[in-house]
Amino acid sequence: MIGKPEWFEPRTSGWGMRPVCWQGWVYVGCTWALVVICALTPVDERVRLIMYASLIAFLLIDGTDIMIRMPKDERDILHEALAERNAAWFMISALVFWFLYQVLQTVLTGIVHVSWLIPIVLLCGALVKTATYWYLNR
Amino acid sequence: MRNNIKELRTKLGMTQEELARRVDVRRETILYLEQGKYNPSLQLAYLVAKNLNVTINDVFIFDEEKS
Repeated sequence: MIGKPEWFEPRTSGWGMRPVCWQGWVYVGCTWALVVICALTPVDERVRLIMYASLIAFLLIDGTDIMIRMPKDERDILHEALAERNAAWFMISALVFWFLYQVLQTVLTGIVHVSWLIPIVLLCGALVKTATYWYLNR
Repeated sequence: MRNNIKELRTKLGMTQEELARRVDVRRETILYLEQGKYNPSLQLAYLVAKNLNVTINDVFIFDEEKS
């Protein structure tokens, strides 16, 4: 791929990465330039949509490749694990609270307000956790 | 757990960057170690001591009063 892991480091605020050298900033600059080109190019809107989709797909693939190959030492891995765990617990709590709120709304109004996607997502998360424990303890 | 990494490192004329490179971690990790904000794994502790030409006991001081 185009981006190199040594041009970036993991962000400590939110997800993703940030440049640490001029090559990384050039990569970011070129990305923004492509966004502007997509916006300003006089083409049919469907073509523009395809251009945006292609750019997003490329950034997702290249960005994922960079993140996977980014060197991390033991402290980076530990801190990342703790931060991701805290984020996951917050998101799980928010999903559970929202689902319970929807159930309460359903009970009070008699109209179904429940999004069954929420318990499905929570169940899938539980399965991922179980699989991770199984893999680590095998 | 306290440590003498900074003193031992400067005595050898070594920078944080160089020590980090030798033990294959980022410079920030060496900074955190010196500030006592991070306790290393046994492997990292051994590598740090080895590259500072001392034993682990010479580098890391376990505070038994707090344990």
